[in-house]
Amino acid sequence: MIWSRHRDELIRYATVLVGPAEAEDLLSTVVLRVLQRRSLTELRHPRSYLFQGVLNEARSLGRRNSRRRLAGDESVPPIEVDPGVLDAVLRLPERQRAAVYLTYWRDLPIAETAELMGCRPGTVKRYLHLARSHLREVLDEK
Amino acid sequence: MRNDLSRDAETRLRAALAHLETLAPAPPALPSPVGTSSRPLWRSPVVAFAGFAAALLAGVPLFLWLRSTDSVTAPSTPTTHFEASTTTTPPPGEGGFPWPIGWSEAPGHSVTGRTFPIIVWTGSEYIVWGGEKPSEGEWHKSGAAFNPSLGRWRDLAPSPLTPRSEHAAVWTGTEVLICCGRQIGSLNSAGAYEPATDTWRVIAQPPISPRFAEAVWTGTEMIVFGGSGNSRGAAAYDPATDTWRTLADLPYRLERQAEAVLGDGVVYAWPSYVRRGDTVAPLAYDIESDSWRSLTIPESLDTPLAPSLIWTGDELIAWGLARSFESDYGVGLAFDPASGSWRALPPTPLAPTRPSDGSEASQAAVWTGSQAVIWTGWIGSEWDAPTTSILAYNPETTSWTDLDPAPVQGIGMWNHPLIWTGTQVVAYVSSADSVLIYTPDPQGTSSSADVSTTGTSGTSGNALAADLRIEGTRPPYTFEETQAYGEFGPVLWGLVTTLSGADEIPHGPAYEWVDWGPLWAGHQPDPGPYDVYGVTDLSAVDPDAIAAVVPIGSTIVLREVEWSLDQLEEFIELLIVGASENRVCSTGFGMTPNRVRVVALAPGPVLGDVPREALAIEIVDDCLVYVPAGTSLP
Repeated sequence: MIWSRHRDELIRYATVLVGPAEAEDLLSTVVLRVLQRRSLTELRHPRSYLFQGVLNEARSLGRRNSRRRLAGDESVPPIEVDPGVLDAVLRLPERQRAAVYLTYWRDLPIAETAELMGCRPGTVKRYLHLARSHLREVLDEK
Repeated sequence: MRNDLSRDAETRLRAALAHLETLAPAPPALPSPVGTSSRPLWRSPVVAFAGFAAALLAGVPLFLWLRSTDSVTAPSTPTTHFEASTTTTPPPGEGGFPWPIGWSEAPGHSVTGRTFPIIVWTGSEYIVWGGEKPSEGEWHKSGAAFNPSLGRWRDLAPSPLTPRSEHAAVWTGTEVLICCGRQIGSLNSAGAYEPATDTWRVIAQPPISPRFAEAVWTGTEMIVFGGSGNSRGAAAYDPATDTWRTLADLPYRLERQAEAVLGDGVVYAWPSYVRRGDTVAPLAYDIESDSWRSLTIPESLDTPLAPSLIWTGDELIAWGLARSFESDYGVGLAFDPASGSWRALPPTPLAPTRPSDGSEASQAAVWTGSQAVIWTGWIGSEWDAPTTSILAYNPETTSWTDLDPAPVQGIGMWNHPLIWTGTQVVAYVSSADSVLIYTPDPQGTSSSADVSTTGTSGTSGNALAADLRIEGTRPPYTFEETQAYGEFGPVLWGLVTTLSGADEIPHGPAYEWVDWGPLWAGHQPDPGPYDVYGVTDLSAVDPDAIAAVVPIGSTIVLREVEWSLDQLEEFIELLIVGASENRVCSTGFGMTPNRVRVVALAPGPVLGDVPREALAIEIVDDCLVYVPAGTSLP
């Protein structure tokens, strides 16, 4: 039940962080690691635990092979997607990208974003500010 | 936060995020946690075909799926759960549970979270019995055993002993002998538990009833001692004959949190719960002569110490927190039985701590056969965040190692809560409902940082400062203020976390660390000049040092300067430039260095209107690349 409830949002989250080519492997690794220790039903906060696991694994993956991942995705974005913005988002470090995704796309409040990222609300705000500063030029936010 | 972007900018950002999300493949099926292969189990050809079909149905571009399935040929590298560790999962031992390198959190049990239970390592199991839960106001008579190799708990058979806490226990090789302790009053009953048969027996009644008992196993007898007043005493129990014999009485009281250790026929104990007028000298009991003596306290020790004790095979190591008016600091001593003299251990690389409200600080220690692992910290309060430091001291090299930060903070360590299994440290944390396991990297490539203890500059590649003092010039911020300011500056946050050996920095008015709050003032509604602490007076640092050499005892003085947010970001960019030029470990485009290390000092260029006198910083985001001596810095 827990898995079926969260798997869709987890695979989307993983995709945003590492791209579609590695999202499934990443999520598999996270879930397998959790199951090696306990069942999902034993987790007190399975959703935030899994989200944090995905982010941590994405960061590990990024450290191991950031060049490959930063090369971006090969798909052709739809016309309404600004390639510059997409490229800038892809270049955000994982934690900043996670904060931006959860806040600006998933519309989650800061507190919930912080819970899913395993950090404090103030830290989320810092990631968001950093992300905005990196996106500022492409978004014409002077 | 959402009103920081214009509607148009947010729309374009959302469109990009939405597009990324639509690329998601079908989620994997839930695997069965069988085996330890790092290759996901559902990546079988059958499941791959199903996924292929699902991907097509979901409209995922075919080439993306092919890329995904291609990766099956290259097994993914398993990584550790905690980001402080960068190495892979070690091969499990025979039948061993595959705990990753670094810290792991094992499932809890109803026995976890108790205070003052007995905790005994049998060689294969970690047995917890008795104790109390202050919040529940009750004592327990139940227990459980945790097997780290299996990662599982089992309940112990019901015990015939009365519920109790602060009792004593030893492992004889076949049985856990349990004695004394207290419920409301002192208890003079004892029992034995045999793990092999999961059976209990009541043993002969002890002649003493110390409510705060300590015990050691001599190989043939359990020596129990402790207590105060009428309950004070010492006795020895022989399980072969089920008999007790009374030993010479202690010269003075020995109460809560005292620790005892056996070394070369002598039982050492150190009073730790002292009251005004109490004798605080450590005790030594000679088994052969049945006599107690006080050990002279080192003259340099001018404050009461409540140390944890370790017998290394050659000497006694005592490590504890000494409390001064302003802060607590770690004190390590070694006692040489041959000469009867104490010597000070190299300064502990532990930042001075200062529980503002006298909240309880404590420590625990365990001997691994070559190193003393010290866990210290204090329980948080309403105003103080809890903190934890974990260090390892190697007597052979007289060096300290800063172990990976533990995944939890806030400890109350009593009654030998650390166990060394031979391959791992297992920690019973009474403030948590889980058991923590630390698995060292067998290759020795953990992200732990060796810490210089010699005081010789320029000798240790990745040494950090011992006895480092970081002082602020501004009154500490409140917790709420630091939250409002968005926590810590990305640069100095990393510096402090590196120096303090923790990924998280405690908040609260008791911590001078929180002075970093305004360094990151990015989301303030009215950007402008901000109060920023710059690290300035680092003149004591040896510029020829290869990495991170701050002489022991040197002081980093934080001076309040004014940097605009733009200036701050310009400074961060300078660091990133340094990364891009391969002088330091690259963290990727645009990535804020979040773990940095002071490597040297040089007269710095001017940043804006502010002289930047210090801060040659190495970015060490999970990898270490040393800056060669003489390298010009950005």
